[in-house]
Amino acid sequence: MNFAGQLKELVKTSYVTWAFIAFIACDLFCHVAWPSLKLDHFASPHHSMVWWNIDDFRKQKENPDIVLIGSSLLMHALHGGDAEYLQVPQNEVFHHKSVMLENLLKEKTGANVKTFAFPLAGQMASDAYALTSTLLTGSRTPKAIVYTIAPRDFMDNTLAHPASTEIFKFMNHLGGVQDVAWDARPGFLDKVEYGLEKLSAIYDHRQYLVYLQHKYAQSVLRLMGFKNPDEIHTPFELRRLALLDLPESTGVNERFAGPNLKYAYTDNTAEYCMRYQPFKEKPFRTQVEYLERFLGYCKQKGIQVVLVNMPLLEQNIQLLPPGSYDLYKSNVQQLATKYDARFLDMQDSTTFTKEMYCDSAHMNGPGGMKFFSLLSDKLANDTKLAIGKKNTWQ
Amino acid sequence: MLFNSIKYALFLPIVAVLFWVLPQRFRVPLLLAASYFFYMSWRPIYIFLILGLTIGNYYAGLLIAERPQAKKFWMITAVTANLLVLVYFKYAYFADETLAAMLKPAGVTVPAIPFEIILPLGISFFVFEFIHYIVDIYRGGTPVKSFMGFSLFASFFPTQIAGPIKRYQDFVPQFLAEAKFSPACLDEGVTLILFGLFKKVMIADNLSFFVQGGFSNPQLFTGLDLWLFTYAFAFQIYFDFSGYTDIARGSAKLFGYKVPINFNLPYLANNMANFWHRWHISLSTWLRDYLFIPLGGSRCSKWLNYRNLFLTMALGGLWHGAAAHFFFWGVFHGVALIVHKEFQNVQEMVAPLKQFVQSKFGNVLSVILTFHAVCISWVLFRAETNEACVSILKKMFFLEPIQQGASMLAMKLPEINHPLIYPSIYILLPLLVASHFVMGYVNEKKLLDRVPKSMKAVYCFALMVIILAFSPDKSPRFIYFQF
Repeated sequence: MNFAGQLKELVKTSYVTWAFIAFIACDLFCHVAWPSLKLDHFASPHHSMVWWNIDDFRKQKENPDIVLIGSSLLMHALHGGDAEYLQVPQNEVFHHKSVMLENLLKEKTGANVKTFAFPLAGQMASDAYALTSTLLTGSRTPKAIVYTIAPRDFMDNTLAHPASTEIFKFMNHLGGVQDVAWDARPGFLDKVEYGLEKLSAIYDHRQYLVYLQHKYAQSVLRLMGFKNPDEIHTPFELRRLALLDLPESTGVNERFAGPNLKYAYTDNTAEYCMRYQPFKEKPFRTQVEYLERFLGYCKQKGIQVVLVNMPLLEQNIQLLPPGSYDLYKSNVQQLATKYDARFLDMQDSTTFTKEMYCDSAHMNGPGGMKFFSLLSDKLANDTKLAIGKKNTWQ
Repeated sequence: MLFNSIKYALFLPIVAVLFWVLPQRFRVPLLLAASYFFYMSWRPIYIFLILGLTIGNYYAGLLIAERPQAKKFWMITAVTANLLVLVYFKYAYFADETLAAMLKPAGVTVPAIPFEIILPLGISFFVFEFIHYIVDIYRGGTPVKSFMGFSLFASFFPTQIAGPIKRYQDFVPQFLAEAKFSPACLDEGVTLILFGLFKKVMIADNLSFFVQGGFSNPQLFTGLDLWLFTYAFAFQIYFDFSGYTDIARGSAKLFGYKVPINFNLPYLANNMANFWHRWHISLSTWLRDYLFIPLGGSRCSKWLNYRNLFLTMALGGLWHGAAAHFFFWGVFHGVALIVHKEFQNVQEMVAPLKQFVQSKFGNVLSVILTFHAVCISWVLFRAETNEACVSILKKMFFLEPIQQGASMLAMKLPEINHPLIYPSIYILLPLLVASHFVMGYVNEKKLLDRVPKSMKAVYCFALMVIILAFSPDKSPRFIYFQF
């Protein structure tokens, strides 16, 4: 029997072939039907810190003037700083602005500046680009972005590739970063998986389908007395295990930054050694390219960018491979000049002393207050920035 | 290369298509090359191990067959060599640590092994296949003449890492004969693969998050909670391993080959002997043929028979891993089999007891008791430390002191609401138990044979959609990969 004959026989007799044909037909139907169903791409079965942050941003009625973007370095400074400043514990799940910065800018410039912050742990330069180009667009374009950066945002050996972070995946899922989606996945299998997402509508929408699965499961469980899923009542030991294997979820009752805490210092040099060493040229260059894309995008949209080099303890900088800190700074400065962005170097070991840190990189509450106080000074007094030109915001 | 990975999803169809497109004479070389590629995708250097063992056993087999006067010598040499390789890779650390602990009171210090020994994937399985081959040739079997055929027997990628443990008499003739593609093979193969994937990624993987929580933190939970964790582990290991076996059998079927089954609804067993006829069948039959029977089997005195049972199961336990808890797991099963034998003797003497056991209610009670006995053994198997194992068992049997005012039936689990598998367990576990009974009924009535093709197509279609849409991004390794 020739090949055509065998194929005909297969289609006639093999039920797996029928199932496969039905599957393709169903997938094609989904390709056509999904757009008209107007599915909520934001719906996610797992409410991570990224999800809460973007959920809050979506709910903002007014557009922010200044958007703060940064990694866990900004997160610690922002939550701890405002908790100290206001003397009120801050729920990190909902706290997405710098009250202190808003108040200080009002005092120093008279302007009512509205801020919104995206402090997301592990954020890389590629994530900053993904976030900005996906969310800060159209009517959501802010006047300025304060992007707090540090060497780890450019050289983190724990990162597989730019598209592997939760932020990047989420932005991709929301329809963003299509321009870099292919290049951000350097590995063959990553490209295959991405190709599969583009090919199969079912696979592409699996997050939404899992969301539906969870939603209906929760409805059934509620009948059995299941508690509100946004509040997590699980012992710490089990939470830690779940984070190792499952996508991150954070309960609304789980993360608080408090004022007047007795801040203990944690030695995180082993962790940063792993992140920094050895220096890998290619991933570093890739992240620099993303910073350039970010700056290019902002310039095109007329967003003023302030790049803030976050202060680190000397012992953290000493963990960096020789010459890499200077390389990082010179690259950032060059790009800032090229794209008319401001570069504020806050690295100052005499101002930011060890007492202001929880570890070698992250500031504690008093450190956060110091940071935002200095930042507001610099923003208010920088005549090249609109905010520095007094009342030109309104 | 995991069965539940994109790599395998690309690898398998490519090899299968090439297999059927190529002429017969290229098929065995193709499968051999694919199998070595599969093995090298984990740690390339160990290809020399599997190659070395293959060459050694191939020639040993020929020597045993061709030199009858020295066949015992060659058999013992080959089996010893295989066992030494297994012992070196699998038990060197264990032996060193055990020896050190034993000699410590005498003031003797045993030095630690100064280099790293990485356990090669699948070694326990392919070494057992080699031993079976050598012993069967010694018993009068015909050796495999084709070196390539023999190499493929040992390295065939669907069964390479975690079995089922094949028999060369059944397997080798299949690929030496001319194969013709048939839609039935495709249907059977793909259905098995889809069902295996469903068992692994949808059931076992979800249960693993729950089980891990309980067995890593027994101090957080009460006795009743720990029973639930143990039930969950019983189903996790079953669905994980039987899921793996289904994928292995399905993959083999895509090339037209049959490999033995490993499971037959084990939790419907009504005694421990019956359990071992239904659980990891290819291992239990191997242990019977190459350990229990050579030790003397059951054709000897009662006490020797019990000794043989005990030794077989204890060594079978140790086969799973170089750790005391696996040994005790085996010992538990050995003792349970002896108890079962004794109970059978008692039944023969007490007619009403026999009648009761054979009644419907007696059978259900037997199934429940056997399942619980197996569950207790799973605690020995799964507990992370010996101390944790003792603590879990004490709690499960309410032997731990209960705080004043606390109820013996108190549970901590209902307070936990994340991940979703915790609250879902109260629905999932009864469903899994029910599924066992339903499948038992379906098999007994042979209902699957009567299902029309259109229904089978719907079933496959549903599995395709479910697996593609609901597979977790991260899937733990198959449990039996560590053995």
